[in-house]
Amino acid sequence: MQMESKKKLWRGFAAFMAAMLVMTYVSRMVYVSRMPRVRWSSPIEASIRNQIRAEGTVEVVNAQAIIGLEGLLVEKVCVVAGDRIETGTVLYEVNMEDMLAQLAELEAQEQAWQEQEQAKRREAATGAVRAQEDYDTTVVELDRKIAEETKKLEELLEDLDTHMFRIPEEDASDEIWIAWADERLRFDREIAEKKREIEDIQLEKDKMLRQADRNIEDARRAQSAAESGLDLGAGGVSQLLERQERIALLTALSQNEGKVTAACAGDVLEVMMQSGMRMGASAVLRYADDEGSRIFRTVISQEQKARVHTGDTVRLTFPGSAEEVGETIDSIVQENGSYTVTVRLEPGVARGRTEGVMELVSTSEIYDFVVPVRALHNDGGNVVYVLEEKEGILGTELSVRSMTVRLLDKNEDYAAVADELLTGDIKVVTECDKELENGMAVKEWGE
Amino acid sequence: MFLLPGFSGVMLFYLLPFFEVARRSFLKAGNNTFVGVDNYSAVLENGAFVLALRNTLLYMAVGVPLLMGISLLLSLLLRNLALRRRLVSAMLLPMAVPAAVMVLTLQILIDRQGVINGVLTNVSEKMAALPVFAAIDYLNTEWALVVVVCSFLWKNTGYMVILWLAGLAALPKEVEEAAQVDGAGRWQRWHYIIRPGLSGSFFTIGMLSVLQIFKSYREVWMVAGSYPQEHIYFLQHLLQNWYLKLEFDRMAALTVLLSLVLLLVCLLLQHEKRF
Amino acid sequence: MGSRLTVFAWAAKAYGRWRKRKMTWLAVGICAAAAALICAPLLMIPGGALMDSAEVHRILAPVMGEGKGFAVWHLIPLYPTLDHFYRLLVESPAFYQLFWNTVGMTAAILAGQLAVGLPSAWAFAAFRFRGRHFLFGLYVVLMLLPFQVMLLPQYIVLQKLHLYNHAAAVILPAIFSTFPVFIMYRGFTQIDAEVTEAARLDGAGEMQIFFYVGLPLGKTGIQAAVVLGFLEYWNLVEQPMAFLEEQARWPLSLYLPQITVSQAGFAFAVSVMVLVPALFVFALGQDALEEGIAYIGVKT
Repeated sequence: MQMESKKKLWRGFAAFMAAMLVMTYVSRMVYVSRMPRVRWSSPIEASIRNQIRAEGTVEVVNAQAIIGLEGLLVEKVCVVAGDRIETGTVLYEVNMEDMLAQLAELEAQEQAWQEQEQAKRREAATGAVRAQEDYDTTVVELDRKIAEETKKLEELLEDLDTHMFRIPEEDASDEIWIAWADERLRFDREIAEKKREIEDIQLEKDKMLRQADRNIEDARRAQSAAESGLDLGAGGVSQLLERQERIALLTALSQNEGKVTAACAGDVLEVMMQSGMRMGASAVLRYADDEGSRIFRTVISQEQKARVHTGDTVRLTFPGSAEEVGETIDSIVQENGSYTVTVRLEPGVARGRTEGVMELVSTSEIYDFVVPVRALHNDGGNVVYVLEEKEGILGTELSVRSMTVRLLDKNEDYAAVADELLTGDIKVVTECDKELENGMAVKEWGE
Repeated sequence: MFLLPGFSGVMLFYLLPFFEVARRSFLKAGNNTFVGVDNYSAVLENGAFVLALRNTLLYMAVGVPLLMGISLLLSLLLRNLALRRRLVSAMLLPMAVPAAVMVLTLQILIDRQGVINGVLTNVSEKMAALPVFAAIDYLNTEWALVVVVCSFLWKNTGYMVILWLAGLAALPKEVEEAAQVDGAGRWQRWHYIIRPGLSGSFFTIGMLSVLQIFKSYREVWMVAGSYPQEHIYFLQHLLQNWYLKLEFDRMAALTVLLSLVLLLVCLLLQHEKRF
Repeated sequence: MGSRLTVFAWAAKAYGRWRKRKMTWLAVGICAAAAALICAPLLMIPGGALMDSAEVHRILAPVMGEGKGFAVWHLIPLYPTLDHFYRLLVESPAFYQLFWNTVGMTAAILAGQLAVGLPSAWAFAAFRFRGRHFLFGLYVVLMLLPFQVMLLPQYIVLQKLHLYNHAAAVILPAIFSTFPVFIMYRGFTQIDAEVTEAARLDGAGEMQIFFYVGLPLGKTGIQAAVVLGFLEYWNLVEQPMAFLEEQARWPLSLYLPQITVSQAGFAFAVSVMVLVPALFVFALGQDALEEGIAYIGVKT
């Protein structure tokens, strides 16, 4: 090889090496500039706070109803829904003419009944007297009979005595003895019979007396019943009372000029009557008693449900009012995937309000590993990237390793994760300026 | 002295370790208990050793003569050509190729579905007269040794050609020319003049060929791994595997054995002043 | 009579020349064929380096176990691309790391070999001392031993010296390799003894003889040793693999095995880059190389 070409070769070689040197730096720069930059932090022990906010409605628990006066004609309705009523507020007026007519009729009925009652009473009294007379008669009668028989008995007994005197001598003949014995026996028999008869009469007397007693009792009872009118039976009694009540009601009403007033304070919820209507037995007005209680009800999602428990304290506010209450949750009921939360309000709270807002700040338990939400990758939010040192041809580099974790809880800024391999001093990537992949080399974000 | 630094290094990195190895060859690996010649007998009885030895010797017996023969032939043809320089340069190129590249190329060519099979199949299909060629999975059959030998030849032919050329150049030209004028034919010239003159080179080149055979282990390992097809399992495979399995005792024994054999051969040859 | 002889002689000469020409052309043909055969696989490399991955995948699919039929190779790619080179040269700082590792390692080894082996070779050539033959024979034996033989013992020594996993673990043993000593020795033996004698007579000290006589005259031997050494150590595989654990310290030769057939295009691009310095050195030192190699073979 000529010197010329040799020199050229040397120069070429030198140029090659120089180029390699330059490229060394160039390739490094390219490599580094392509590297994703990351920021990292270690997971902390913390609890996650979530604010739950839900709008809901205020409902009245026990709306009181005012039953209409059945059968009466409404003349004028004096309140509408939403009105405030106090004790004595006139609710409505009834038609006086109609009412008075009804009243008159009722009174007439009452009158008739009264007379009927008196007649009955008189009858009963008579009956009682008669029964007593019967009794007395019976007693006398029977006593006479008994006396009669008793007298007969005594006669027999005397005869017997006499007979006993005539007792045969000891040596009298058998026939005489037998005849005397027979006689004796006959006496005995008759006496016994007589005794029996007397007993029978006695018994009969008792019976008759008892019967007579009963009759007297019955008669007496009838009399007292007639006095008090109870012989009408249960149905009859209530009907009687009803009428009397109604009469009293109508009378009071007429004294009040036909105005029906409220008995307590509250807010009118619903008026179910109009003038000209004849009231039935149903409610004509519904109102929320001041003393009654309300509930607040709202619906929350499943995700929110996880943070809310029965017994938690929530803050309720009501739009349009400055009122603010702290109450505890009464119940949470599941319905088709969503949950209805009910909060019982103290009496007098949220009067006149129909809407409210519930707010709750729930603080979860303390989790071992909480990272910023930005550290979660993957749609499911279950992959984080851990910064590690990796040995390679270029020496020790920082690289990221993907780690699948379980997402336990999160709010807008932080998330709690768990995995057996997590420790407190691992470095979790919290920010990166390029897509990360497992095993990729990265560098720290320099400011 | 001039020699001292070099020699001390040689001592340190080659001789001393060697003595250490010799020492270990009498111990058991792991607990270092003295076991005498147990390791040696273990090695000699080891089936893998026998196989490796057989293969290595076969490889040498085939490769060395082939290499020397081919390169000698080529050098004889080349010695008077004007294009000699260029052709030799071309033939030397394989020496510069890194082993990994050679391996990659080899893989592409000799794979069961590689280029060589492809070409041969095409040819045999196109020429109906030839028997149908079935693709051979070269590396996993006995053909593996053929592959190894061929790649060995490919890499080292240029190297040997230069050596032969140098040896031939050292022959005094006058004798040859005189013989040529005398009418001696090619064969005669060869037989009586050239061959004897090359005898020195012969042994040197032979030994270097053996050295290259040992070195070719590198490519074999890269292509076929630590446990290749049985025909190409060589002594170096054995040594390397024992190293990886930490069976240092056997390795030591084999090392000592090999070295002693080589030393013996070299001393013998030196004695005959072949150098 | 004389003219007939002349004609005949002329004819014979011409015939001889023609035959010689034919022989020459035949020889050329055979050698060219041999050279072509040898170079052919090498031509795959630049072609492969310029092929884009899709094409590589397509033609190599059978080899990668993904297709039926056989792989083919296009010496000239259908869709050439500089992708691989871009990826290698611009996007892979790892390549440069290993490149400079290799450069550093090779340079250190060669420098060390010159520093240590050169004096040793001179010593063998210029001085006669006892045991010279035996020692030299030992050197030759050590030169011939394959690395696997030395693997374990060197490992032990390196461990003791705490050099394991350090670049020195590869560099130091290589510096003391006896192969360059051998080559340089041969170079020095070519020097006429008379020259050295003359220098001695002139009163030159040994060092001066070494510097002013030995070095210049033995230059080809030294160059040959350097070139051969370069080729050997530029592609060193076993020692780094055994003694260097950290990937950051590996030489280029270990970069390639990590790339598989599926990345053949990239692998070829890497091969090209690895070959370039080797080719440079080769081209620069070919003369010396040839002469140097020749020294090995020539009988003393």
